[in-house]
Formats: sequence, C-alpha cells, structure tokens
Amino acid sequence: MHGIKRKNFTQELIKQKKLKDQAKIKYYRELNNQLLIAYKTNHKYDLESFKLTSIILDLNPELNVAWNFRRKIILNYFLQNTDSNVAFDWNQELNFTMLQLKRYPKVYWIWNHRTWCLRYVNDIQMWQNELHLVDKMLAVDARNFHGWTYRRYVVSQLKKNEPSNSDLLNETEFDYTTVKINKDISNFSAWHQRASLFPGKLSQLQGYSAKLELIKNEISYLTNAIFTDAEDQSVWIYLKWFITDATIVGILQTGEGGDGYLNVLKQFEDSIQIINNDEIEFSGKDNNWCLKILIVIQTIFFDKLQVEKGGRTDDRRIMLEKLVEVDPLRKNRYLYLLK
Amino acid sequence: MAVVKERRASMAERKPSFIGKESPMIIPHLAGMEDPLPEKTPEEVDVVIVGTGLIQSILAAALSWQGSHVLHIDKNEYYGDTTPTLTIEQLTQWVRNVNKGLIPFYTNAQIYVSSDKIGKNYASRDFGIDLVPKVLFAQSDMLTLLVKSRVYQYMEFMPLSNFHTFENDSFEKLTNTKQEIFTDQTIPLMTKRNLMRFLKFVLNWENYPEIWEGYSNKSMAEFLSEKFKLNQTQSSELIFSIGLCYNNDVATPQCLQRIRRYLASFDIYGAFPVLFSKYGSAGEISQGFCRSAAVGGATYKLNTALESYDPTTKIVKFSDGSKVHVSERVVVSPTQTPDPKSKNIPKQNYKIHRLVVAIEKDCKQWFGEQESATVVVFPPGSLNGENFEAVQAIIFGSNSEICPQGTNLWYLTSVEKGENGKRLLDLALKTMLKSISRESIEVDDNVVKFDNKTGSPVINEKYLKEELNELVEPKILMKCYFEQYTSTCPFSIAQPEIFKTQKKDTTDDTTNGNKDNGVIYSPMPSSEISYDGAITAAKVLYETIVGSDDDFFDVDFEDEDITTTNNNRMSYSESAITDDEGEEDDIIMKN
Repeated sequence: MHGIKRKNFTQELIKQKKLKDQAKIKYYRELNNQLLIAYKTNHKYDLESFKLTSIILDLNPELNVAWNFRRKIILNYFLQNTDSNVAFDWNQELNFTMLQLKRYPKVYWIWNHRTWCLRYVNDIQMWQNELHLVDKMLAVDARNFHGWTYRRYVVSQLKKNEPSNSDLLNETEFDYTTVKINKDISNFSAWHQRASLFPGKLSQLQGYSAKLELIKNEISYLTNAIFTDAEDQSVWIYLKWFITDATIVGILQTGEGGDGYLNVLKQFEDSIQIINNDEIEFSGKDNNWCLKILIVIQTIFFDKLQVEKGGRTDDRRIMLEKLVEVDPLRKNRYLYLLK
Repeated sequence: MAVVKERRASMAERKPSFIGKESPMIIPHLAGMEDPLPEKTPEEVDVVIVGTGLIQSILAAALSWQGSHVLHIDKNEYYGDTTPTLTIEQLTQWVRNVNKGLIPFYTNAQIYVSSDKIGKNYASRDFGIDLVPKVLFAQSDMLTLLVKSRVYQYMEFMPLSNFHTFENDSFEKLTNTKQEIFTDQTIPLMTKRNLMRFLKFVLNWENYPEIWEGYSNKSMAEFLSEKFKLNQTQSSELIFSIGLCYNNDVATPQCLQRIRRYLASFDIYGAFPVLFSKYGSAGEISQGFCRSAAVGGATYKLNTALESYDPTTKIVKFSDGSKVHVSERVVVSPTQTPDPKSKNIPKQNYKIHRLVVAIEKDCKQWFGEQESATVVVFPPGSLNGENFEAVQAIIFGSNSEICPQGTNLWYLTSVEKGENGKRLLDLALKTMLKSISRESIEVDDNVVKFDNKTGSPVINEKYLKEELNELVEPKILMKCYFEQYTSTCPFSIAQPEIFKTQKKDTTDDTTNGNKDNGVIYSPMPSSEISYDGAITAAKVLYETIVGSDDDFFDVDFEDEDITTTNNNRMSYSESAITDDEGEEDDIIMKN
C-alpha cells in the first residue's frame, strides 16, 4: 500500500524463502516432466492427465503446451467417450478459464482457450454472458487490449447468431467506446474500436444528410479532444484514420459541390494551426503531432486532390525540418522524407 | 463546573481492543477513555503534556514510541482539548465555560439549540461536533503518518470528491479532472486547452521556474490570466476551491503548491482528492493518536488540571493534589494554562470565526455518488462584495456518523479581520440554506404534478406553500458561533521561534514565581481546512524536547502477524485505506 515501508527481510527470512522456493521449483519441474511424458511420449488422454493440466496451469498459465494437451484430452477422451460418467462439463471448463483470467488478465493462452471452448457451446445466451464478462474485465482495466480483442470477437458472434440485431449492437458498441473515451481520452484501444465501428454505423444510416450529420458530430468530438489534450497520440492517430478512411472521404466528397472533403480538411488544418501557434506562444516550440498531421493534410491537398496552389503554400519541407528538431527520436525518418 | 453525563461512544468503545476471539489483545484499554482516572499518578516521568488536542496527541504518541515516558493530562472529562468532538450538551457547556472566561483564547461564543427537536426527535449525543473540522488530503504527511503509525486502523474514512464554488449567485461544481474538462460542453475549446495545460504544469511546477519566477511576488490571479489566459471564474475556482486559499494576496509559488496538493491527491485511493474520518474530524484523529500513545506506554489522566510547574525542582503539581517529577519538559496547551494572564503564553494574534449548524435537511444533491460530505467555498467578494477573505464550508451528511439520519452538519470558517466575520458567516449560511431549499423544490415530485390528459405540469399549491415556508425558514436544530485565536497565521505553520523564546525563559526567568515558567506552550489550532501543518508543529515541539526529529515515529511493527492484519481488514472494510491494502495483500499472498 502507498506510503508504507516495504518490510525488510532479515537474512533468516531470505534463507527460509529460498528454501521454500526451492521446494516449489522442484515440485513444478516434476509436474512439468510428468506432463510432457504423458503428452508427447504416452499420449495418455484420460482423467488423470486432465487433472494434471489443471494443477500445472494453475501454477503457470503461460505454459501453452499444457493448454494444447488439455484440448487434446477434451477432444480425444471426454468427447469420444459415450459413458455418461465422463460427460464433459463445458461450464466447468469455462469457469476454470474465468478464474484464471481474473488472476492473469493478460495471458494470451487463457483468452485463446476460452474462445476455443465457446466454439463448442455456441448459443446466444452464452454470448450475451460473455459480453457481460468482458464488460467487467474492461471495468477493471479499460486499457487491456486482450479484453477489447475478445469484445470484438464476442460481438461478431452475436451478430452471426442474430443478424437482425446487428444494427443495434453497432449502436451500443459505438456508445460504449464514447463512454470509455470520455472516461480516459488516452484509451487507444477504445479509439481503435471506434474506428472499426464508425464505417458500419455510417452505412447503417439512410440518406446523405444523416450520414453527414454523423460525420460532423464526430468532427466536433475530435476537435474537442485535440484541444483538450494535444499531446495524446491516441487522438491524433484516430484523426489521421478519420481523414483518410475511404467511406468517410467518399461521403464528404459528394457534398458541398464536391468541396465537402476539402472544407473538412481546411477546418481541421485551422484548428491544428491554432493549437500549434498557441503552443509556440507558450513554450517556444512546435507541437510535433500538430506538425505531423498538418503534413498529412497538406499531402492530401497537394498530392491526392491536386489542389491549385494559388494562395496556398506547401509547407511540408519546413515542417519536416522543424520535426527533426522537436522530435529527435524520429530524426532519421524525417531526414529521409526530406530527400 | 457542571458535569455533562451523556457522551458519545469513545473510539475505544466503538472499536474495542479485542478483535475476534483468537487474536491477541493488541490495543490496551485506555485509562481515561473507559475509566475516568488511573489509580495513581506516576512519580517520575520524562514529559508532561497538558491538553489532549491534535498536536499534543501526535506529540504524545511520537514521544511514547521514541521511548519517553509521557504523562498526558487534560482538565476536561473528554479527549481533544482545542480539537474535541462534542455532543450538543457538551458543546452547550463549552460555550458557557467560554463565556465565563474559563477557556482562554475563545471569545463571543453563542449557541442556539432547538428545544422542540433536540432531546425529543434527536438526542444530544447523536451529534459529534468538532471545534476544528478538517478534511484529509489523500497525499499528505498526515495520511502517511496515520498509515505508518497504524492509527488509521482505529478509524474509518470516507471519500469526498465534490467541491463547489459560490459565484455569480450559484453553486458551481468544480471541473477539475481531464474527464470533466473533455466532456463539459460549456467550456470553450481554447479554455479546455488552457486549463489542461495548467493542470499538467502545476503537477511539476518547481521544474519550470521560467514560467512562474516572474510572478513570485505577484498574485496568482495575475499569473493565471497572463500566463495561462484563464478568466476570472476559472482562476477563482483554482485559487479558492482547489487551492483553498483565503484571498488573492497569496503569493504565486505558495498557491501553486496548494493547487498541486489537491491534484496530486487525486486518484491515489480513488477518484477523489480528500477523505474525512467518520465519527469526527480532528477530534477523532486526536483520540487515535492518544490511543497509539497509550499503546506506546503513555499514561492518561482526564479531569486533571495543571496547577504549577517549578523549573528548578522540576516538580509539576496537579489539581487533584498529586505531583510528578519531570526529567525533560512540560508542554501546555494555552487553553489549559495555570495562569491565563501569564506573559509566557505566546501572543495569539490571528482570529478565526467558526459557525457550526445542524440542519434538518438532506443535502444529498450536493454530495458525490455514495458520498456524504462536500466542500463549499465562497471566494472573496462573493458575499455581496463584502468579504475580503474566502468563507470555507464543509458539509457532512449522516453517513459521516456525526449527525443522525435526515440531518446535516455545516461547518463554516472565515479568517476575516475586524468585526464582520460573524455577519459574513451568517450571510454564507443564509445563501446555502436558500440554495438547498430552492433545489429541493425542483426535485420534489409533490410540488409539480402532471395533468393526466394534457400532460402539462400542474403545481400543487399546498406542497408549494409548505416548501416555500421551508425556504423562508429551514429547520435549524442547533447553531453555534465562536471566535478562536491562534498564533499561526493563515497558511503558515507554527513558527518555531515561539518555542525558542520559551526555552530562553527556562534558564533566565526562574525567580518571579510564575506558575508556568519553563513550560513550552503548544500552538492553538490553525485556520487550515486540512491537516497540513499539524505534524510539522508536533515535529517542531518534538525537536525542542528530544533535540532532533530524526526518530520522529521511527516505529517498526514487526510483531504484527498476518492473522491480525486479516482481522483488521475485515473489521474496517468500509475504510478506503484498508480496502486498498487488502488488494495488495492478496497479490502478495498469491505469489
């Protein structure tokens, strides 16, 4: 706990701890050997081996060979056996991974095993439960990308099971990212999820004006975010995606006599200029993310849209030279781009 | 002096020394908490401390754990001296005593008790009223010491996250986190940027002297407007509600430090900057340290006053006729001096106005979710332009366990100079009462009913009348005003020079026969809303006695095993602090 001195271990305590650990290590190694012999040499798929995997995975969930063995046992022993006494309890298996996830929320193999199990227990109510589970996991740690990946998988399964619910799910999932981003603007996983949902949300809407309104709302949400924290890369990466995504660009380009996209870019350019000028005024330095995104915008202007340069200047070289100064860690990339 | 019979359950009674059947007795019964008097006074001690207020109690515990034998006495029948938690009856008696001149350094004490409610609907001891209400910053020396000394185990804490600023005739809740700044639709974009930039800067402000150095002697408002382009409303929130400063004259570095204190405390135990102790503020913590001192070996005696001290023979005489030889020093609270007119007592030049009100009203709308307290600040000038100093108010609901269900305790404090203090506190009180009544009307379903056919709202005249009556005259159960004097100027800590002067007295001035020659006077409580400064004051006293503060609370509790820790955790699961520890314990035990 904060503010409390960690207990200083006396020599005697350290010795005791080492002794205790030695016994633990020996025990673990024995189990490990047993497991490998049962799996690789004897192909011993039975209840005893199953129990062995439980014990060893409890000690070390990172041991993927044990998970593999466990799945082989389930397939080759439990599911082959017609004797009702050894009928396999999938719920118990899910519970086992659940307990593991609670303790080790960032171990790939546990998430993997859970996904594998669910393929065999495919029903709609179960997927609903999974969504609640992942809600809880993300409430504990909103930036656990395993949780977000799993969430996308669960949602895709829910859609597959009930295609009619697809639109509603998109809606609630999009709102979910808003809630998470409002709580923590630096949650890149949530921004990423938002990017994967936004095009779907757009295509759901009927009519040009409804689509445009959604885009305009997102522009103001993003503008709000860059003004709140211009140092946060999550927002800038999302912004970069937003102004280059084909669906969004396509919709914008059809509006305002073909200038819709150009105008949005100009609007962002102005906001970013304001932020960067303010930064220069305060600290004497450019904001490197402002420069990077301004370069992206100018590249679209001059290279993709072939905008008439009349009145506009191409500042990309100047900005790259500035970036060499303000972002020295990526100096060589900027020098390369300058060539 | 009339003895008040009814008292609130002491800390030792609420949390008895025995926790569970198997666990050993780790907290001895405190003589004086359960029983009024120990059997006899020891003949020889190292230090005598007179008065069981916050600073003296911390000192008593520090000295006891360092190995000094401490005799800690108090002339009252309760713990706390200048920082007690009192029942309404005890407070009434205290006011009487102040007016009789029995308690120095307090003046103009007044109390109103609603006779048709107190003693009927509510008992006097349902209320635990602090003379010095305080909040505890999550990152502060006091919290660190509470943890280190394990005094926190005797206590329960609750979070407080809502701070309100009264400005332009309304109470604004603070926008002080990134989340709130991002989602607030009313803040202009550039202002969001400026606010965020300031919040980031202030966390490491000393590292950027180029930004603030030019403002070392200028006001914070000037600094915020010129450097961060923040307008008056925002800078006033930062200076008065987050920084909890009293006026605009506070120098920029000092104000930055105070703003950082708030922001650095955020997210240490959760999304709130401060905590408060249940069952009472400074009174509860004083009792906690007394209990810790008793475990460390200090002897406690209540109902015992200091008669005299002779620095030559080193004999202390008490009101019960007993005496003790002191090998080190005698520390005395100015309120318990044997001679209120003595010139040895440091000048108490600064006046604090305090108003505490019990109202029969639920103020939940002001509290955060699941919380039971809030801080309200009236910046200078916000009370009809009349107040030169901010008025600070802490509001506690019944979950704080210092007032019964459906009631609130409101503490208002001002350091206004001159005679205007009481009037300003009354004005602030009136403003808050008006606001809470108005808000209640808005939320009361009985007032506005919807017509079944048209769906348009119909005002229920009868209820509205009742509500309006309440708006004019909300039920005040108790109201108490007093003025306290202190030698500690606002935002400062007790000046070490005070104690040094007294030290000189011990050697030079032993002949004139004063009853208090050679004693060290401890400081009166300061006006500070948090516990900041109390430990520094105790440390300075400690250093004066021991010679250095190197071993101040240098305690190792190696004896404590896992069993007792577990038991404690279960018993105090409501405490924000123990919960946190519990989580980490789980992690450690697992590996």
